[in-house]
Amino acid sequence: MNITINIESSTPLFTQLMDQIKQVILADALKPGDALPSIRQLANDLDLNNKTVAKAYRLLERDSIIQAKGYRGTFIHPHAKANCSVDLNEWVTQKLTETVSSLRSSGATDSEIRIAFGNVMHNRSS
Amino acid sequence: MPDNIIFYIVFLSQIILISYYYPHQVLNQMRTVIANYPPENYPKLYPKPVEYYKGGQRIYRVINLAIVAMGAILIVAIAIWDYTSTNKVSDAIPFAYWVIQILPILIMELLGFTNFRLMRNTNTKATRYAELNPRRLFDFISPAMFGLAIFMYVACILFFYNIHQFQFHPSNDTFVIFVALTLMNSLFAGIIFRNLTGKKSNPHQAHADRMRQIETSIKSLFVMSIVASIFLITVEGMQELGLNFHVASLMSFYLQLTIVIGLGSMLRKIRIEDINFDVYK
Repeated sequence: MNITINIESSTPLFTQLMDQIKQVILADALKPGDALPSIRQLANDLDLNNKTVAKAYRLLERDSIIQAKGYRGTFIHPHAKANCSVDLNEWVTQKLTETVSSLRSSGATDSEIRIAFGNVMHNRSS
Repeated sequence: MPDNIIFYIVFLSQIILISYYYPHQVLNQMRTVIANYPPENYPKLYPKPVEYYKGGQRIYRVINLAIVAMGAILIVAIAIWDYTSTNKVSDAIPFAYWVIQILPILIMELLGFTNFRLMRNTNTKATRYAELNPRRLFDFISPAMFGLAIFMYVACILFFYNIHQFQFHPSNDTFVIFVALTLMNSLFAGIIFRNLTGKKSNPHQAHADRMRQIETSIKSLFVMSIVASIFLITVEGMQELGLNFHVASLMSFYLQLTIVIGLGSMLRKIRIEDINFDVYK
C-alpha cells in the first residue's frame, strides 16, 4: 500500500501524512502489529524533512494509532482502527466551545477569556 | 612454460570480458532504450538532448577499444620484459590494468548520477509517493548469506593471524588485512544502508524496479565480500605453499569476478523488458 503527499496543498505535510496512514489502517491495508517504515526511510522516500515525519509519528503514537518499540521499529497499535475514528481536534474544539460558553454565561468578557487563555497556555500566573 | 600460458589466457579473458564484452552489452542496452523509448514519448528519461547520450556512447566505445589495444600491447610487453627478467609475472600488472579498465565504468556511473540529479531538478510534480512497507536487510538476502559473509570475514582474519604466528601489529600482514577487509566491508555496509533507507536517486523510478535494483545491489555486495575473503585466503595459502607464480593469474581471475558479480549481475537481473518505462512519459 502506498501513500501520496501533495507538497503544494494548504494542509500541513505532517497532517497529510497522519491522515494517509489513518486511511490505510481504516481500509484494513495495515493490521495491528504490522511494521511501518522507519522515519528516515519514509522521509527520504517522500523527500521530506525527517522532523516532519517524526512529528506525524509522534502524534500518531500519542493517539495510540502506532507504537514505537525502540530499535525494533514502529508498529500499528492493537486498537489503531478504533482510535483512528477519534478526532482529537474536533474533541478539543468541542471542549473549548463548551468552556468559552460557560465563561461567557458567567459574565467574563472575550478579552478577559483571551488573556486568561494566553496565560494558561504560557504557564503564566495572572 | 604452461604457467605463463595460464596467465596469458586468464589475462586475455580479463581484457575481453571487462573492456569488450561488458561495454558491448552496456552499449546494446543503451541503444535499445533510445530506440524503443524515444525522447518524444518518454521525455522524463532524457533531461538532456538525445545527442548528448549518443555522443557519450561513442566516447565510451572508443575508450574501451583503446583499453583493449593497450591490453594487447601489455601482453606482448609482459612476454618480452616482465616474465623474462623476473621469471614470474608481477601480480600488480593485472591489478593496474584493471584500474584502467574500470575507469570508463566509473565515469558512466558518475554521468548516471548527474543524469538523475538533472531528473530531480526538472521534476516539478507536486505529488510524492511512498510505500508503507519497511525495507529490511533480510527482505533482500537470506540470513544464511549474511552469516556466511560474517563467517568468511572472521575466518580470513583468523587464517592470517594463524599463518603469521599470532602476531597482530601495524607492520604485519594480519593487521593490514584486518584494516583493508574492515574498511571494504564498512563501505559495503554504508552502501547497503543507503540503498535501504536513503533517498531514491531516480525520482521517477517505479517501486518494483527500485526493489529489484536494491536486491541486486545488496546481493552483489554480499557475494563480493565473501569472494574477497576467499581470494585473500587462497592467495596467502598459495604463497605459503610456494605457488607464487600463479598469484598473478588468480589476481586477474578475481578482478574479473568482481566485475561479473557487480556489473554483470546488474545487466543480467535488471532487464530492459522488465523495467516500467511508463513512469517516464
